[in-house]
Amino acid sequence: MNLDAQSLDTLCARAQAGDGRAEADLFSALRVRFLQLAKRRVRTDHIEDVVQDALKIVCDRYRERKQGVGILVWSLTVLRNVIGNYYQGRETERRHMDFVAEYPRTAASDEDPLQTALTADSIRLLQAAIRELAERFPRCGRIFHHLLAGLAGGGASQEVSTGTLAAMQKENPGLTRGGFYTALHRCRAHLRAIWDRRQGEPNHV
Amino acid sequence: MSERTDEKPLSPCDLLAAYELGLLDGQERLRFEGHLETCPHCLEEVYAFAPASLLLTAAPGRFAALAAPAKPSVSGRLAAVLAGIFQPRVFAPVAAAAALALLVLIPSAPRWSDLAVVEPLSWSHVQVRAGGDPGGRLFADGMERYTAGRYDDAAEILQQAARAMEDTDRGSLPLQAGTPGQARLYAGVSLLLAGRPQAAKGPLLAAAANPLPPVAQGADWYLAQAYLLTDRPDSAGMVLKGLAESPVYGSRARALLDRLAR
Repeated sequence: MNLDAQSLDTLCARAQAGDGRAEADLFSALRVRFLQLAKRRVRTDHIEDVVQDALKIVCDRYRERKQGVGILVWSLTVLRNVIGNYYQGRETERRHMDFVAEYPRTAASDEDPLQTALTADSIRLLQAAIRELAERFPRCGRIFHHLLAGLAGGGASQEVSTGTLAAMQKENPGLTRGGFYTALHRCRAHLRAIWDRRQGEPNHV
Repeated sequence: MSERTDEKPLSPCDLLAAYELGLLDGQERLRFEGHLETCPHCLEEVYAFAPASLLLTAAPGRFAALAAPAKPSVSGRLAAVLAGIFQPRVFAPVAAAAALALLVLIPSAPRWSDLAVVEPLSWSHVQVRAGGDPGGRLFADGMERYTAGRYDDAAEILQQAARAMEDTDRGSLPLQAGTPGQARLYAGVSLLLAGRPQAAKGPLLAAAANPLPPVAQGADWYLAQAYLLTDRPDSAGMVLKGLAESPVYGSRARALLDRLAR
């Protein structure tokens, strides 16, 4: 690993503090990931437009990002919105404008991805998924409960994961940090499966 | 799916959830991001689950209580599954202790509680006359105390009513006095009015997941007040934003958001 390398969140924090080099590195790194994802979902000649649109929104809004929300997760939500709009545009084009070959520009530039995600429906859907997770996989429920309560209390990352690990070690004294991450990963997979099913579209864009 | 959670050896992909929730330290995060460059599967996973991860990290307080294990009765669980209604939430002692610890740890410097609007939610006596089943009778009893301003009593009885209604097959009843969702909503409001905002969050969170907009939106409004009263303006703001387009609470939510922003 390059010793000078920095995580995306560190680059983002430096960029927010006015470091132009960090900002360039951040957008370069995001661009690589956006391209990777877009090329699986968008027509080849539209990939650049979609990625540019998403990066423009990220560029316009990343300084307003809520503290504690990771830049990659946040920016991938932007990309999802742009690709979602792309598909909507394509559908409209197919139905009404067959003669127009151009990719319709997205109307997403003013959207805050957090606001888009925070609709009452999406909150309710995730709440229902969490509740089902806790019911079907009680241990997963306890893990998520400790983690989310810790995050809600404003705990730092290490503090929250260590606190949750300590709580889970009361049930299973032999649980290591590695074992805890594996457990969390499996619980997340259960939650993802429930969330997907409740959305009714397992392979959404 | 069985619940096996900690036997497999750790692989880089196992850090996925910890990364999404922001639990990794600087070096671990960097290492996982390096892994993302070579693991299209993990990158796809982060992308696919991004809206949910974003919600969990942006508003963890809205989901924490729901993840606490429930202790419903067997008949209650069966009735809930059959009726498609939500489960009774009886928090484990450890969850209650964690909530209490969080309350103690929350800094009290800004007086966000001054912004909270805690007024009784109206209720018509006409609606409670038909309580025939045990849950319905409890509901009617609770609402009588609520309208009489005996909020501590009302909260306790209404929470019992919610559980009783979920344990009863009410499909055959000709008239129903209230629903579990309404019972939880009014229990939460009662706890707020009794000066117990922390305790109000549990029933209000449960009521906020109700499929009926009047119940869910009412619960969201009072949940926002509970957050303000416990100095959690961020969480209050998140809930209020979800209410901004509500026909009943929209204007009040937007006005309160303005005051919060100032």
